[in-house]
Amino acid sequence: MITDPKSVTFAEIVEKLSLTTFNEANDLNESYVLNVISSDLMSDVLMVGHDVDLLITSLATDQTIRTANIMDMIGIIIVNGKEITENMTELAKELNINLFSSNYSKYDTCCLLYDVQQGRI
Amino acid sequence: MPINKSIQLLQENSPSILLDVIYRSKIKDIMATKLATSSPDVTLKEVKSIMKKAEVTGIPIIEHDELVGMISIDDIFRAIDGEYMGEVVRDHMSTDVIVLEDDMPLAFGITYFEKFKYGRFPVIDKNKKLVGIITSRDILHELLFQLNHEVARLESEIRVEVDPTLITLREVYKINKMDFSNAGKASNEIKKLLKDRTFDPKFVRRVSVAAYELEINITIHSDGGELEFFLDKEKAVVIARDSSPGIADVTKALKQGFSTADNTIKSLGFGAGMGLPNVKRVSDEFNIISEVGKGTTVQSIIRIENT
Repeated sequence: MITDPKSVTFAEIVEKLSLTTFNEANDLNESYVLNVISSDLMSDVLMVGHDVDLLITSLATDQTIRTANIMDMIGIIIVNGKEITENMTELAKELNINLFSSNYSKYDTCCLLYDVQQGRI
Repeated sequence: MPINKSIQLLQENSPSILLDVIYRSKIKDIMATKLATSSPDVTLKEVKSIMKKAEVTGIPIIEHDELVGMISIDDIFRAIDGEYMGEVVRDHMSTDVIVLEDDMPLAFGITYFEKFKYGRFPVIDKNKKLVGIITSRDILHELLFQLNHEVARLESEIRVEVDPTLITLREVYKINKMDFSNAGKASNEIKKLLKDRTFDPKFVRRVSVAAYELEINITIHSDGGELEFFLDKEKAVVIARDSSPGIADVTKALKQGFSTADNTIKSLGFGAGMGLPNVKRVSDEFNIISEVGKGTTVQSIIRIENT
């Protein structure tokens, strides 16, 4: 049965999805994720009209971090184990955004996160 | 119809923009240069078919490279009524032809239409050679085109009425072409400035999205430009200016999905044709003026109260 996704903490997501943490902007046990967007197109991300907490993307550039900041997001997961540059990490620190890397594909990362939000795993 | 029948264009109190257009444009910029002409030795019937084919209502009559007369649709009507369509043009053309010179300002043309009540004037160059023909329709068309353009330019210059003493914040950022390591920096700074002033987060986000999309646009599409941001008690204004290359079709550029970006830009997560439509979406007022070769100015206004 599909229920509305519920808020989960970053700490839980990091654990269940085996994420690598590049920047911990605040206490991961205290930051909650409810709304998520997954896209490699930053223009699409900027089109979203509602609050989004987390960006899942395979785009690993400075613009990824800046886009997330413009949209007031609190976290980013870069998928496919893509290299996260030092500059990206610095930017995430400066802008106070949690930054993680996932070795899963974008699809799998999304599915896993969904399962976490559904309380299945 | 004479152009000035009801509109007096050349008045002392005409708007200066109108006068500027009228004196700046020259006859040669407006006249038709693809000409249908005829020799004076053909019949009126033949001239009628030349006019029909060329879709004109009057043609210059040329002999030995010289303009010797004009035949208008009225002459043809008279010939049909008088049943002399088989006669030669020479005997029925107007020979007291009034001509304009190609270097004359448009103002002259308008005066001529006013004074002589003809539908068209042949245009000659300084060697007295026929180089074109001008109709009142050409003039109207040009005036509308120029005025449209002027209005658009003026609109872009209308900086929202801002009392400089009310501006609480103003920043101008230089944006470089294809500088992706810095693209987005200016708008992130704008965001910080607004956030520090504890505005409603939704207002801050709208301003930031407009600034960010415009900044990215300058980075990927122009040869560089600037992003201006200011704030007063009622609104935030973001203005993006670049000096080239300009947008060929602004209407198209405002359509979602229309993009001229290449794959390098697309691989960076932009160039999907969402930029300008997105700026428009978040703006309370949106103005764009662009001219190929001269550049683009986009202005986005976001009112504090509307958020």
